Amino acid sequence: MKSITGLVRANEGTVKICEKNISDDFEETIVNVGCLIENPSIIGNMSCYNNLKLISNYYDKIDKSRIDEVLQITGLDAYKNDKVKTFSLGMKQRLAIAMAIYQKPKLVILDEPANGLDIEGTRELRRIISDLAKEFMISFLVSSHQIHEIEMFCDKILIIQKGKIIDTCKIKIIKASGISLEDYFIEKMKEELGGDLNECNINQYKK
Amino acid sequence: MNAILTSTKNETFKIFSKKKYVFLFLSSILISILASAVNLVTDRSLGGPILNNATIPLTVLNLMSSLVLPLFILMLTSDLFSGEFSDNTIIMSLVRPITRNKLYISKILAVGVSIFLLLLGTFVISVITSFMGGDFSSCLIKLPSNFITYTFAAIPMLLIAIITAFTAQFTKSGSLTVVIMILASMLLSAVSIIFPEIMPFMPTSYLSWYQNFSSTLNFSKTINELLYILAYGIMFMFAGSYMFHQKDV
Repeated sequence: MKSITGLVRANEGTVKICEKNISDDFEETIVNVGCLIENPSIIGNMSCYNNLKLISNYYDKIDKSRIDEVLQITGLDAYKNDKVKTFSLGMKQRLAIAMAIYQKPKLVILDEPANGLDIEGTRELRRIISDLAKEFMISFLVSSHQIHEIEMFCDKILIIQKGKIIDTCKIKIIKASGISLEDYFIEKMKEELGGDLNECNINQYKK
Repeated sequence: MNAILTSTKNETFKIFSKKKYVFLFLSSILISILASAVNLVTDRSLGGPILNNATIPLTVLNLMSSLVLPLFILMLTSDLFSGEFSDNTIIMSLVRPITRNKLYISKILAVGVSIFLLLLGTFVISVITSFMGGDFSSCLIKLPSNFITYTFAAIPMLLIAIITAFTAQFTKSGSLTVVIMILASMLLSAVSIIFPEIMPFMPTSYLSWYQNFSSTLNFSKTINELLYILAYGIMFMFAGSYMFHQKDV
């Protein structure tokens, strides 16, 4: 995810977003991408509105009224003048999502977005992501270890083991086959690692 | 170019939204007020000023550029680079439509804008105080040369910012960068004393370059020293922006 957004340099291969290579024309390519990598990257001593205003300056083609629009989408309009350092983690995550969708991107990358969130926060986040995907046709690339979360709001999954994609599948196909996503995941991991998954994991751990 | 201007505006906004910099800015201005006021007080108690009224702006500038300004620049620059890496706020700018080289340049420019504003504030205050001490005609005569000196004082200060930004690429802590820079400047000064022959090659030798404009101008010396400043500035700017570009977050 960091390679896709240009935060780390890829050892090999290329990243293409909307037919544009990120290493050839970073500015043109990154316009189509919004992201929330690790913790929300926001300035605590500024207000919620000013944080958004700061990033809005980079997009001169987008009207400033978009700030109020994204605040409304993420349910932060009532707190727009509050300092971000007083926010809960859930509110900070919502602000980070507001910042990620400001430029009307085609792809939004979320790295463990439900990390550290309580039950209501996780549910709210799920609602925001689902609404944005349906209403604004934004593609979300979400990484998570919470497989039940993924099962609830994703259309397609990608299982990665040690940097290698071992399987891609649509959730509805898995559901139609009558097994849970968790069982499907375990099965695929067993196939990849061979034999008993627990044993494999212990051996990996020992190494 | 537009991206650099936008980012410079953003970085300057970030600087002035931090209370510690507003405090530092105001305390620097306060120091200039105090230094200027000393002259007026001594005028009354000793029957005559220690300094000539017209030279107050220069005395204040020497005081500011020898200690307060470099410290201000060290803190400001290290915070904009290593400080942002340590609290992860750098990601906010890195995933926006601006290349890393342009972001690096705009951060340096934002520090430049802050230096210029601080020098301007100091100049206005010291000029007002010098007028309060009387002797208007000599103050007025000195005004243009004092203004030029203040303007050019920003150049060596910007060199400090560029060197600090380069140093900041090796650390992930703003305070560590400040400590490294202070130790490095002490080391360079010590080396210059032990081996005076290498003094012309030390960047620390040119921090008082602006003083060339306060007395009779020695054109060749001034240009020669400016070229040294430019050379150091270009070298550290390229090295710093290259490292910033290669840095993994």
